Amino acid sequence: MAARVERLPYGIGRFSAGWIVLIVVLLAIVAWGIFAYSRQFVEGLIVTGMRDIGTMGGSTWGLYITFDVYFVGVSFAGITTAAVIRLLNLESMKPVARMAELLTIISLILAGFSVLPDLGQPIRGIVNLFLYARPQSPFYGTFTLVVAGYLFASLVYFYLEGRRDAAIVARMPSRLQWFYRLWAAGYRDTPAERQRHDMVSFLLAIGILPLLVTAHSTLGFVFGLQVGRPGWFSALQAPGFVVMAGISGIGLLIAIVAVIRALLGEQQRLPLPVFRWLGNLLMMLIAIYLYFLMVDWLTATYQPQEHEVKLTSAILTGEFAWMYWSSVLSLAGAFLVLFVQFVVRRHSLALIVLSGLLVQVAAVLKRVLLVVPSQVQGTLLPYTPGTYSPSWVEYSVIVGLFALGTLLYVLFMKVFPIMEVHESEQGG
Amino acid sequence: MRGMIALLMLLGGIALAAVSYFALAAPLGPPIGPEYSNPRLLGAPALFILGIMLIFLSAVAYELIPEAQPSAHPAPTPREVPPGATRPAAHG
Repeated sequence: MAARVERLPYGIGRFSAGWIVLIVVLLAIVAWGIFAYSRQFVEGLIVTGMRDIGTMGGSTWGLYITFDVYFVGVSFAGITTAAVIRLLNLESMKPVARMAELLTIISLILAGFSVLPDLGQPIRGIVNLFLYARPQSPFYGTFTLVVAGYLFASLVYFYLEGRRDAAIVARMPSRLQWFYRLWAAGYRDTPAERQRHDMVSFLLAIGILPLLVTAHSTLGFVFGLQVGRPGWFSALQAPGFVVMAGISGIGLLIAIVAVIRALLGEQQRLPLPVFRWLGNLLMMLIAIYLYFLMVDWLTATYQPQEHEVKLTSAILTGEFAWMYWSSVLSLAGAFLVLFVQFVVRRHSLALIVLSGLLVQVAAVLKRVLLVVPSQVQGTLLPYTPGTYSPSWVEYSVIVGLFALGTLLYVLFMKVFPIMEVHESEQGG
Repeated sequence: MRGMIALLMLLGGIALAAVSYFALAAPLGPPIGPEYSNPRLLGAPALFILGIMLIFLSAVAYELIPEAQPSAHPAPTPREVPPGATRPAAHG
């Protein structure tokens, strides 16, 4: 009698030469990022391109804060998508849910790691936030809601959603059986358990959605409430943050889902309609953001104050113009590509992925434009305009963070099913 | 039992978050003095985070704590013990 060999689904535990090379390369980049940060830790922030505003003609927030905002933004997509799939019971979108949740968790970890190098004394910064943070400060909200609340809520959601699959793979012999049993925590997929889980997931999804809108708005308030900084003080910052967060997150999610579909050969479970749904959502969010952009542009140019004029001209026609117009063109281009497909009702996977990548360019540039110009051009005191160009240390740390995020994602894919295990793959 | 524990965690989390935010952290209002900058209880932000975590942990508790199983063979009440039969011995 031939023994039935059960294999864990989605390539779990199987490392081909290509995967090993990828992991080694990612580890090397992470090590380079750690080395770069060690230089900064030993020598101080002088090895970065950041300098005091005004007196040193620089910018105190640079690439680290830019990517903190970017990563927090990306995290928006994951849990929102997962919650919407749960609330609207979108059966065909379920394979995307775990990929999206994982994206949220990893992005939030990267966001935390982006802020730390911005602090001269990171440990002191963390400890003091726990001890002294003041509720009226937007930093209190970003620290407690984004990192603690939002990350923890996402972890809880992720854990509970994964119990069923953990119970399924725990039945298959593997070296990680103990881990799957631990995750499953006695789950047997009985009708009563399923009903209880559905109810809890539904309530969690309802609880998480307002939390994440609040969390992203709070991050917007970090900039939007600063009355003395031209270009930042705006009621549109908070909603703009929420919408741009959705754009960057959904865009990246589209790219990730496409890569996983190609890697695992899962064209059946991740068909074109999945991308069409994500693409349409992305298109709507871009349309809303373009409207915000226009309102912001009209307000800034209609009858601006002296300092606003300086800043606006630096962004629209001056040294930051290439960034601004590149981001606008990327957004408009992505919108156009998606809109044309929507109108003719014919979608192309490659074009939807292209839109997802284009909005990443726009998202990063928009965050640079938010953080930097106001500091180097927007001072109300009579200082000459400053400059900011990131050093190799900052670039290395950020590249290292991207590699860390990719590494975590790749390793998770090799340990746990990246998609809900289909009934046909459950084995017997 | 399970529902009760989850509900207690949920309410406890909400209470802890609310108390730490409104009563233990730095007072809300215009910062007219140092007392508006310092928390009334050192570590109040940590308590707020703990409260938020408790709220979401209540979901884990609700899913993980097993349902109390009704006993398959309930011990007969004195009235049900047939005449002449011995009472079941208590096991400690």
